[in-house]
Amino acid sequence: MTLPPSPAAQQPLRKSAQRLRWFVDAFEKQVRNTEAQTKNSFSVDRDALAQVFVEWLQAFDAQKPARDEDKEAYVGFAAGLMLKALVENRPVKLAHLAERADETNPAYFWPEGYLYVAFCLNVRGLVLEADFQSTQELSAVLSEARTWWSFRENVSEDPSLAIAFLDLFAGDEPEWTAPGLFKSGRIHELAGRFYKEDTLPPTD
Amino acid sequence: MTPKLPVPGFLSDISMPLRDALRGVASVADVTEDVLAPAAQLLPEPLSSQFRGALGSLESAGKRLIHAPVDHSSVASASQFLTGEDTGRDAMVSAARVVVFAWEHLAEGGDDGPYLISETIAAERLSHYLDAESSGPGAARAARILTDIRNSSAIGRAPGLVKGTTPEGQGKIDLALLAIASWALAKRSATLEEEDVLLDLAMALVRAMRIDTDRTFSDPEYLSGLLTETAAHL
Repeated sequence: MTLPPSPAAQQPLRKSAQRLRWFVDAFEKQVRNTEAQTKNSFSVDRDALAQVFVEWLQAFDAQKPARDEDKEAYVGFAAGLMLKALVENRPVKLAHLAERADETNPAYFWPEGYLYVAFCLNVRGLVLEADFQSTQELSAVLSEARTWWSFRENVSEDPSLAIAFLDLFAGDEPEWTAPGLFKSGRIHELAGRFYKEDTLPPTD
Repeated sequence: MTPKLPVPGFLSDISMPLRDALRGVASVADVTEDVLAPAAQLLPEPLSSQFRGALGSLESAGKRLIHAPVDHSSVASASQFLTGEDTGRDAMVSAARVVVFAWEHLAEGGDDGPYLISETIAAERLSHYLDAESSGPGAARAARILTDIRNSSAIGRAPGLVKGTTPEGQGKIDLALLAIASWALAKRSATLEEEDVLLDLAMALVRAMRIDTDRTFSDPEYLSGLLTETAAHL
């Protein structure tokens, strides 16, 4: 996916994403890409998209971490907040489902949900790459029909679970119990799961 | 010896009141056609068609003639006047034109009722801000100018004569003014077409923010902060 350029050359991508014009442009590019790939077609309500942006920005600002070492982990959390706002406000409607669509494929099982997830994962991956020189390793469950069935069922009852599901799709450890709360220092907690204790530097 | 007439303080563009008059004509024709539609149906042909045709011509002639030239540089100039970067007369005239252009652009896409704007009255209010030092820089100055236009008779059912706004109508006027000011203060787009899109996004943004407009226009500091925030996120 090609996202719009940052307004200022020196501005980090995560800052550009906090402008409505960038968000709408990026989202509409995602719609066109997904339409080309799936042959589904969608209609977009820009007022609802502005509502998504405002709700996301408020939620984003409410838990923005002060510590530099939390900023990378917050990118993933912020992408989850975006998915939550999209699922709640539903700014997109399926206008036409592709002919002979296989509904076990997530893109046809829940076309709007697939579009939202694709957008959030793309923005998440690009911000991590551009601003933190880090890569996103997507999980295999992203193409599993039963995971998508569970995703759709669960977020319809509790939209905050979208944050945990996006972590799952992105290959991170989901926080199922309180997905709407960002945990400071989570990057160290995640690191602890992947490195053996004896490889970590000794502490005083 | 005949005394020399004083040069009007703000009215450097004589076509301003003319455009205001045509705005009124176009609007009256528009409303008249709606109001008289049931009666017009009672007229026998060809009188009925001729009546509708006459109103249609009047309306479209007015609409064609009312648009003052607005280009990308005048949008930038208007923005500079609002923020105090350029407080000259040319920037002030651009600001009046651009505010009216933006008002009419938003009115085209909305269902906000027949509220008109007078370019002449807007320019007269803006002329009070030709001196930058008296009104301060940036969003605070824009907030003061916006409140001034809002509290004047520049916008209403018959600008300068009858404001005629309901509380609901005033709420819609306030949101449109906030959108226009947020757009004017935001980073400029590359083309006039993109500016049109940005203005629509500004309207969508202020609507989505569910702003308490009564509080906003009674608290200059709050309004200034709000404009800074919306412009930064547009």
